[in-house]
Amino acid sequence: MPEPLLQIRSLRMDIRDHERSRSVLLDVNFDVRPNEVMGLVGESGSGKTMTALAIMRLLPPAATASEGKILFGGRDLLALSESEMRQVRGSEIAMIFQNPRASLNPLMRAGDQVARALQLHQDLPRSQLRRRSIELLQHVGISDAEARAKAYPHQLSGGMAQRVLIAIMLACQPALLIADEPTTGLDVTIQAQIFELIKEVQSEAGASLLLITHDLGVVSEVCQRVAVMYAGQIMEQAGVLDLFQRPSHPYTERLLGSILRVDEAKALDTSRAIAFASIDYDNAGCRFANRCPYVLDACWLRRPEPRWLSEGHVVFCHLRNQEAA
Amino acid sequence: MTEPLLRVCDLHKHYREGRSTIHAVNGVTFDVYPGEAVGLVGESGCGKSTTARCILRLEEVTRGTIELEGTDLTAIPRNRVRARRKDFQMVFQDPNESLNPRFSVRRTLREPLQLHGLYSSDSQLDEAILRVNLEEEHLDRLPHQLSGGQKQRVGVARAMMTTPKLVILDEPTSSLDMSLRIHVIVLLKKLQREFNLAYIFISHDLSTVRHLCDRVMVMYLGQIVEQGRTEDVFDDPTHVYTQALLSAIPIPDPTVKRSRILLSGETPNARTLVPGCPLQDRCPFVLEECRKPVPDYDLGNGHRVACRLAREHPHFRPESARSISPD
Amino acid sequence: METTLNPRAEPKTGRRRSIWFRGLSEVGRWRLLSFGIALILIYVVIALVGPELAPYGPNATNAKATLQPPSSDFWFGTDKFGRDIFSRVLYATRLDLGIAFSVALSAFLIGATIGGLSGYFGGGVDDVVMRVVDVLLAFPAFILAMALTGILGDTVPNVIAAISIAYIPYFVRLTRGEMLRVRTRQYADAAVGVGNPRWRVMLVHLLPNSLTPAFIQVTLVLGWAILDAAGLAFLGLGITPPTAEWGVMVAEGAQRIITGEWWTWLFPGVAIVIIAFAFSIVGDGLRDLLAREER
Repeated sequence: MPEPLLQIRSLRMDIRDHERSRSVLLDVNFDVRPNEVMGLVGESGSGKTMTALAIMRLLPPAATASEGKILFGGRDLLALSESEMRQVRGSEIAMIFQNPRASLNPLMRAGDQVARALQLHQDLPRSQLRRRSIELLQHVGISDAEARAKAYPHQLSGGMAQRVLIAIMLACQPALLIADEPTTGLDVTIQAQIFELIKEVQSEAGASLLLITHDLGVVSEVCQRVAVMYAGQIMEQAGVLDLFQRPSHPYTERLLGSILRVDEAKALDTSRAIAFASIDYDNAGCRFANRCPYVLDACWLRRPEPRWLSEGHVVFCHLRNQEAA
Repeated sequence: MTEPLLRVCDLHKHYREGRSTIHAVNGVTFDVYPGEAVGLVGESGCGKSTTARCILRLEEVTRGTIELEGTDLTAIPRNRVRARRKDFQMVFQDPNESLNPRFSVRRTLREPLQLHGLYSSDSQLDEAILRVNLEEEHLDRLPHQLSGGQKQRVGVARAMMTTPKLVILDEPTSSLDMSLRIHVIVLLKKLQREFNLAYIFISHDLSTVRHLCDRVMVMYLGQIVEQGRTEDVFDDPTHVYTQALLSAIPIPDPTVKRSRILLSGETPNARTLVPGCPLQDRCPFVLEECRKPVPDYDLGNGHRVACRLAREHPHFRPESARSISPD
Repeated sequence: METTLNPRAEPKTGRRRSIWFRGLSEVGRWRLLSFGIALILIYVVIALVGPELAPYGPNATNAKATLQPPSSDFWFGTDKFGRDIFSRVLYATRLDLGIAFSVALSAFLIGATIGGLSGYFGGGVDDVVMRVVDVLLAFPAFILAMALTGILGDTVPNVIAAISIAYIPYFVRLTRGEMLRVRTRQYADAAVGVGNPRWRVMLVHLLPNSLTPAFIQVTLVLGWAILDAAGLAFLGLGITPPTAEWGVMVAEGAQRIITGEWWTWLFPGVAIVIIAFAFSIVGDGLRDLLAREER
C-alpha cells in the first residue's frame, strides 16, 4: 500500500466559549492516500468542517488544536510557522468552500484571480498568463470563457463561481484538494455538473480529494473510502461499499436508516432513524450514547477501542467489542 | 369526484426590475383536493415559492385566479382574505427566521387562535405542543432557547392551530439535518391524516416529496412541465427536465449505477420569454418543434407532460393533446 | 491566493468596535461597563436626594464669603455672589439629568415611531421623511439645537424641545433601517399568514424587534443632551443665570480663569465630564455586547 499523503493522528481541538472549553474534535484519526477520494461525512456539529480548517490551519481564534499531529508529506502541519503554512496552502493543499462567491475576491475579475494563482506557481509572461487562465476557465466547463474572465464574482451564478474556484485550484496544482460541501446551496442539476467536474479534475490532476459532506448520496457516488463523524469523534471508517452494506456503528446504521431514497418508495418509519435529542459533547465515553438504542454502561465511561472488522474497516463501538469478546 | 379545495387557474406573477420584467410564474393551473398532499418541485427560481406566496396573498397576482372553496382570493379585499386565513396556513422554510424572536412559544401558538376568535383556554396550547412531539415546558421558551428541529415543530404547530383545510409547506425540512428530516416528515404525515389536511409541499428535495406526496407537479421557469401521481412521475418521468432532475440526485447506494442526463448550462433568467419549451436551450434532445408552443400531453390518471417525448410514451393518446398557451 | 481561500472572507455585518472597549478583555469590558453604570446610578441618587444634602440653597448669596476657595465650610468654594458651589452643583444635577432624560425619551418615542412607520409602509411618505431627516442630519445636532432655542426662546421646556428635535432624526434613521431589515424576515410573512392585520404586524411583531439600536442610542443621547444643554447655557442660550445649572456655572466661572479662582469653573465642569463619560461608556458597551450577540 502506498504511503498516505495526509495522516491525521489523535487530533483534538478545543473551542473556548464564554470561559468554558469543549473539545469539538476528539481523537480523530484518518488517512488520505494518494490519488483517492476520501469522504468525511457527518451532520451539523460533527466537526467535519473543523477538521478541514485544522488541516488548512484556518481555525477560528477561539479554537486551539491541543493534541495530535497532522502529517502531510512527512511534515507536521500543526508545527509549521505561519509563513511556511502559507506556502503549503494553495500550492500543496487547496480548499473550496460552501459559499463559492464569498470565497472569491469581490473586487477582482474572475480571470485575474485565476491568473494570479497561476503567477504564484509558474513564471509566465503576462500574455501567456491571460491565455492560460482562459484555457483553465474553459477546462472547467465555462462556456464563453473570454467574456466570463472579465466578470466580477457578483456577476457569476453560484455554479459558475464554483467553477472559477476549481480553476483557481487547478492553477495551483495541489497534491490534496479539500472540498467542504462544495455543492450545498446549488441546484441539483448544477450539483451534478459540479461533481462530474470535480471527479474529472481530481483524476486528471492525480490529486487526492478530501470531500466533506452531509449527503450520503454524494458519498456513495464520489468517494472510495469514508469516515463517519459524530460530535467530533470518528465513529466508523470503511470503504464505501462496506459502509453502505455492512454499517457497523449504531450511528452509521441509524443514519442510513433515516435516508429517504428518491429511487424507491418505502413506508415512512422512524423506528430505524436516529432519536430526536441534542448532541452530548460532554460524555466521557462515546458521544452518541445518549441517542444510541443499544447503549451499554461502558459507553458512558470510556471511549471504545477501535475494532477492525476487515481490511480498512474500523469501528469505535463498545457493542461490537463486546460481541467480539 | 369531490369539489377541489383550491383551484389555481392561469396564474401569472411578473415583477418589474429596472427596465425589464421578471416572469416568475407564467400560467400555472392546478387543483388541490381536500386531504391530498401535492408536491410542487423545481430548482431555485422556477417560481414555486412565488406561487405559494401568491396563494397566501403575500404577493398580489399579475393575472389569474386562486379560488379557495369557490371564493376567488385574488378578487376580494385584504380584510376578507384575513378572515379566511384560518383555512389556509403556511409553514416556512427557515425555522430560525419564521418565529418572532420576542414571542414565547405560548404566545406564538396563541396568536392565531385569538385573531380568529377561537381561543378558549391554554389547554388548547398544551394539546398543540404535544401534537408535534414537544413538551408543555417548551411553551414558555423563546425561539433562541430551542434547537432548529424544535423550532420547526413550533412552526408546524402554529400552522395547525386554526385547524386549516390547506397547509402550504415551503421547504420545511431543507434546513434540517437528515436524521431530523424524517421525524418532521413522519409528523407531517401523521397530522395530515389526523385533520384530513391538504398539503402543498414546496421542495427541491425530491426524495422527501416522493415519501410525502400523493401527486407531484414539476415546475421549470414559471411553468408546470409535468404533473401526475407521485408514482407515475417518479417511476416514469417523461419530460426531459424531470428525467434530468431525477437522474441528478445521487443515490445513497454504491451498487446502483445509473446513467445521468446532464443538462447543459444553467437556468436562464426569466426576463425574456421565448415561445416553445422552456428547456429548449439546455435540452440534449431538442428539435425544431420544441421552439413552437408545446401542447400538454395527457398520459392518463392525470399524468400530463409538456414535452414531445410524451408521444413516444405507451400511454399516449393522441386525441388528448391540449395546447397550453405560453405568452 | 490568501483571499480566495479564506473562509472568513465573507463580509462582516458586525458594527464598528466602540472606542472605549477596543482592545479590552472580556473581564475588562464587564468592569468598564459596570463602572459606567455605577457612575450613572450615583448621579441619579444625587439628582433625587441632592437638594436634601445641600448645605445651602442654590441661590443663597453671602456677601461676606465671595470667591472663597474650597474649605470645610464651602467644599467646592463660593462664587462672586458668595453662593456655595457644592450646593449649586448638587441642585443642578436634578435639572441637568431631568433635561437629559426628557430629551432622550421624547426623541426616542417620536423618532422611533416615525422611523418604524416610515420603514414599514415605505412609499412616498417614507421618501419625504427621509429627505427631511437627511436635511436635519446635515447640521450638527448642537447647531440645530442652538438655532431652535433661538427661535423658541429661553426656557427649560424650550431647551428640551430644541435638543429633542435635534436628535429625533437619529432615532428615525436607526429605527427605519432596522425596520427595513426586520420587515423582510420570514416572521413578518408568518404574522400576516396567521391573520394579523397590517397595523398589528407592524406594532406587535416588527416594531419591538426594530428598537434595539434605538435603545442603545438613548444612552448615548443622554450624554450628548447634557453636553448640549450645558453648552447652550455656556453660550448664554436656553437656561440663563441665576439658575443653578452646570453650563451656566461653567460660563460664570470661565470669566475667572485668568484671575485664578479655578474652583468656580472646575467643579461644575468635572460634573459634566464625568456623567457624559459614563453615558458614553455605557452606550458603547451595550453596542459592543449587541454586536457580539449578532455574530
